[in-house]
Order: sequence, then structure tokens, then C-alpha cells
Amino acid sequence: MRLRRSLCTLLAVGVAASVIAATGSSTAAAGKTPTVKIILLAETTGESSAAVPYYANGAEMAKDELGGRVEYTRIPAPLAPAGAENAFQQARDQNPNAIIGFPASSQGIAVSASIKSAGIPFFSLSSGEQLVKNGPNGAKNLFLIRPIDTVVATAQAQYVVDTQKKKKIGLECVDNATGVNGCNAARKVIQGKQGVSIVAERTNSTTATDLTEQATAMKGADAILDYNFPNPLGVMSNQLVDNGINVPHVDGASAGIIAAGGVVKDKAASNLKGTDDCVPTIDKRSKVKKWVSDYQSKFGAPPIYSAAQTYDMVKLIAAAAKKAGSTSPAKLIAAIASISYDGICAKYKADDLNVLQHVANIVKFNAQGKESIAKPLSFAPGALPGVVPETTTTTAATAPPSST
Amino acid sequence: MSNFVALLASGLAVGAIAALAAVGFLLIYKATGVVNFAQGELITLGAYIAIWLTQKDGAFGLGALGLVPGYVVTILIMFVIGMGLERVAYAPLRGRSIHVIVITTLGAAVVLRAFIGLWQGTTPQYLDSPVRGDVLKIAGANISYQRVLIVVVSAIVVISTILLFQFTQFGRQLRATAADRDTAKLCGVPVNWLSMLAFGLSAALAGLAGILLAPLGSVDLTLGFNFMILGFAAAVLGGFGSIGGVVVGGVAIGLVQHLFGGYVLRDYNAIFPFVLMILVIALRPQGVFARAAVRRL
Repeated sequence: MRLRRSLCTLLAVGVAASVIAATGSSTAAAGKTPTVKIILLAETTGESSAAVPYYANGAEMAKDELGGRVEYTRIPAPLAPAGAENAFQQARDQNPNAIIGFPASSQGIAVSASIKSAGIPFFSLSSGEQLVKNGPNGAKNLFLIRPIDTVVATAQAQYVVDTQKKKKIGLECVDNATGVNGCNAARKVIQGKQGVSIVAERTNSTTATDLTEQATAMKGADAILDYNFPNPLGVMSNQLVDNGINVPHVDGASAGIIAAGGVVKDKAASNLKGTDDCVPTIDKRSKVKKWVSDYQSKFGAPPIYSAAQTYDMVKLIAAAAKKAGSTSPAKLIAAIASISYDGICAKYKADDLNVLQHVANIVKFNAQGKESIAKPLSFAPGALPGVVPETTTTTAATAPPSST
Repeated sequence: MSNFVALLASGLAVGAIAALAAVGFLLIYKATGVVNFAQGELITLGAYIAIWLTQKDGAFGLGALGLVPGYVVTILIMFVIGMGLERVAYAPLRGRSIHVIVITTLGAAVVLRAFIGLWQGTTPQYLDSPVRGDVLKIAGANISYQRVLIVVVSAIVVISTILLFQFTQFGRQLRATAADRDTAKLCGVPVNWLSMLAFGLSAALAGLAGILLAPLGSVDLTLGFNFMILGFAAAVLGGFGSIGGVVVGGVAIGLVQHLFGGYVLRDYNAIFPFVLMILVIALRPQGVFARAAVRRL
């Protein structure tokens, strides 16, 4: 009798608990935002020679604005693959709901198997085409914040060939995934266009301090396509001018970085063009202007794309968690895949390749290095330009904040 | 022909910077028997101090110095930093195994690099030059005046250093210390003071190398590292003996990388100096000019 009564009591408690739990989850589903635990895998100033503060600053700013909705931690992720893997495993041990990280493609490529097996939403700060959902190093839970590097590289080459009508092209490629992917894409555009040819093709290391041979080899080119890191790009830009080669010199995001640092001036600056997928400081939208001003007063320096992108991603993840009403990986991934989020850099919407952003700009510089937009670019979602992916796991000895 | 001249100028300029780094190595080696692997970071630091003094609001907001005064002040600051480095990274370890001291200099390099990163950030910067943008036309090639300046200034500094070694009390004491530190000490040579001076001079040379090198491209935290390695290779070629030997080693390294490497296996030209170094170590371990150096000592 006593046993029956105890069983009845237990059953009643169980039913009551289930009702409470069901009520709770329906509250969450009805819109109560769960706290999301986000980890940023990126270095900040002082942690390595390539580290910049922007990634951490942007994420921190978003966290401050979101208050208790986000629990945020940063783990420094070195550029060496083994270090990146360690950082990822440290992050995984903390059971985050989402991870943002790896400014260099070489990091993401090296750690891709672990990212896939973890199953947690991962937002890559670099955009090597190997990392797209169906690519050799992609995964369902891996999202690319920026447009695919080869898509941007192709647009960069098309701008030179189609818009600027240049016929003799010089190609300069840094000797890692950024340069390999970029030059492969450019070569494809150039070879597909009648009457357009490559007059010289050269490579350089990420730490090159003298590029005389490469610069003089570009004599005869009427435009130079460069897929480089900031420091060697600065060397190349100045040495081209020193050698009397004053033709359009088109690079990626590194161009904006060296122009802002005063590395190029006068002809070296006005010859230079870049491809930047986010330039918050010249954006005319009032919300972006306010954000830039807030950032500047908080950190004492203007933001660049990387700050805006980590800021946007923290907010996007919080919005996706709110939509999902849950932080479980499957629900969060589904919400991220379906959400449309209007951020500082762009309107983010995942395509079939898990790429979130589909716009960029060709930017130009005046003689003082001041940046302005030469041509806005937009890319079809889910499109790869047919470039054969390099399954290289080339690692950069140093990688800049601009690595794509 | 124009290509050859451009590559020759490039090789000579790189060789001259490598030679300055090598002379820096040699000064400390002679005074202390130690190879200072912080030399590369001292090159980088020199470039950043010059930027700090000559750009925007200058040091501590006191106003930017003119380029040449800024360079001179940079070299003086580097001299003091070098002496300070000797106090913290060498003096406390005097008498310990040479390996301990060498590892300490590597540690000092890491600390210096982190300090520069925290102080100046990692965005590439630019150091201006009085001859920025000016070029000299020779046989159809445009040679940047900065390269000419590098070669001329390096030649003057090397000749001055040779004279300092040969004809001053400091030079004689340094050579005596290099030959036998303990005997020199017994004879009244102030070996501790000499090692401070050697570190100071070496850092000043590194600062000068940074100032000369920076306007060719851009300045980031890796600027000096390559030249430290090239300078070390130059010192090995010269057998860590005479200044003339390491200078010839430096120029050989610049030429083999940029002139030879401009025609053969261009994409791999960075390896040629080290192939040369390995060949020299294999065939003549004492260095190409070691015998001459022994006679001088």
C-alpha cells in the first residue's frame, strides 16, 4: 500500500516536472531568447606579429550591446595549423553554441575535420573556396562570413579585363592559399578572353622585403593583378613606381590596409586599387556612420572590415538563437541557414554553399591614400566561378588581417 | 641590360644591409663571444622608433622631428637600448654556458617583437626618406636613390668601423678581448664596459639598418628578421673574423640572392644565400676569410 502511494507520488512529481519543462520550452519557442555562448578564435595585438585588435574589438562591442544574451570568450588562435587545432579543441572543451574564427584560410583548412566533427556552428573569418559547404574542407555547420576568395579574385580580374579593357596583364601571387587561389581564378579569366594575355607571372613570400625582380618583370604590362599580403604588397607598389611602372595595380583587401597605414602615397597610391568586401568608414548609411563613431570612441581608432564582420556575426548568432528558441546545434544551424540579417557590412543570407555575404567593392585611392569606391560588386548566391579548388593545405608563415 | 643593372643595385643594397647586420653580430661576438639573435628585432625597432619620432605628433606628442634629426636621435636611442640589453640579457649571465646566453638573446628577440606589436600595432607602416620617390637612371634601369643611399651610407659606416677597430684604443681593447678575455682583463682592459659599448654600437648599427631599409617598402614586425638571418649567414661566410670578411660575405649574399636569383629559379631565390652558407660550412668550416682574420688578431 505504502509502495503504491510512493509510486503515485513519484508519478505526480514526474508529470508536474514534465508540465513545467514543457511550459518552459514553449516559452522559449514563443520568443524568450536563450543565452548563446560564443567563442572567438583570433589573436589580438601583441599575441603575434600578424595579430590585429579588430576581430576582438568588434565581437566585444556586440557582446556589450547584447548584454546577458551572449556569453563571449576569446581564445588566441595562432596561424600555425597545430596551434589553430589546439585553440579549436580548447574552445570545444568549453561547450560553446557557436564559434567564430580563423582569419587565415590555412587555419580553417587545417582544422576543417575537427570543425565538421564538432557539429557546432562555425563562422570562418577567411573565405577560401575549399571551405564552402560542398568543398573539400567544407561542412554543413561551417559558414563563410565573406564572399568566396576565388569569386572575389575573379571579379577583380574581370574588372581589369572587362571594365578597364586591359590586354597585357602581370600576375603577382603570394606563395600560399591566398595567392594560389587568387592567381588560379585570374588566370582562368585572362585565358578565357581573346586578345588578353599574361606578360609575366611571379610569386613572393609573405615576408619579402625586396621585389625588384618581380617589379621589373612587369614591364610591358598595362595592368597588374596582385593577390598578396599587406607587407609585400606595399613593397611591390613602391618598387613598381621606382621602376617607372605606372599602371593600375589591383589587389584584394590588403590594398586598403597599406593605404590606411600610409605605406603607399602619390603614384603608388593612385595606381593601386583593392577589393574590399566591407568598408565601414566610407559607408553612407546612418546606422553604419553611428557604429563607426561608437567604435572610434570606444577603441580610439577607426574600424576596418574585420571589426564589422565579427560584430555582425555575434549579432547574427544571437538573432538566430532567438529565432530558433534554442541553442542546440541542429536548431541553431537551421536558423542560421534560413535567417536574413542586415548588418554593418551587408545583408547576410546563407546560400547553398553556406556563404553569408555576396557583395564587395572595387576600391580606389587618391594620392594621399584616401579610399573611395570605384565599382560595387555583387555575386550570385551559391555560385563558384568554376575554378578548380586547390586542396592544398599550404600554411602561411605569417598571415595578415586581410587574408581571404 | 637594364634588368641586370636593376638586379645588381637590388643585390648590393640588400647585401649592404646584411653587412650592417653582420658587423653588428661581429662586434658583440668579439667583445663577448656571444651571437646576439635579437639583432633582427633591433633592426625592426630602429625603423619603428624613427617612424615614432618623425611622423604625426612625434614622440610623446612633442612634435615630429625632421627626417635627418629623427634618424640621428633614433640611432642614439638604439645605442642606449643596446647597452640596456647587455645589462639585462647578457651581464647577469656572464660566465654561464654560451648556449644559455644565446637562448637568452632569442628570448630578448621575442620580448622585443611583442613589445613593438603592443606599442605600434601590426598594421604595416611607412618610414619616409629625404630621397623618397627619386630614381637614378643607369643603362635604362631606374635605381631608387634610397638604394644608392643604402650602399653609400653602409660603405661609410663599415670603413669607419674598420678604422675604429684598427686605430683607436677601443678597437685595440676589443681585439685584445676577442683574443683572450681573461688576459685582457688582467691587463686592465675594462671588459664589462667594452661589452656594453659593443652591444650599444651593435644596436645602433641595427637601428641604422632599419632606417635605411624601411623606406624601400613597408615596416611591420617581421622587417628585421630576414636581415638578421642574412646577416648571420654573412658572418658565417666571413668566418666571424674580420669586418672586411663579413662585409664581403654580406655583399655576396645580396648578389647571390638577387642577381643570380633574378635569372635562375626566381621563385626560390630566398634559398640561395643559405645554400651558399651551407656550402661554405661544408667546404671551409672556418669561413672564407678566416685566415686573414686570424692574422689580424
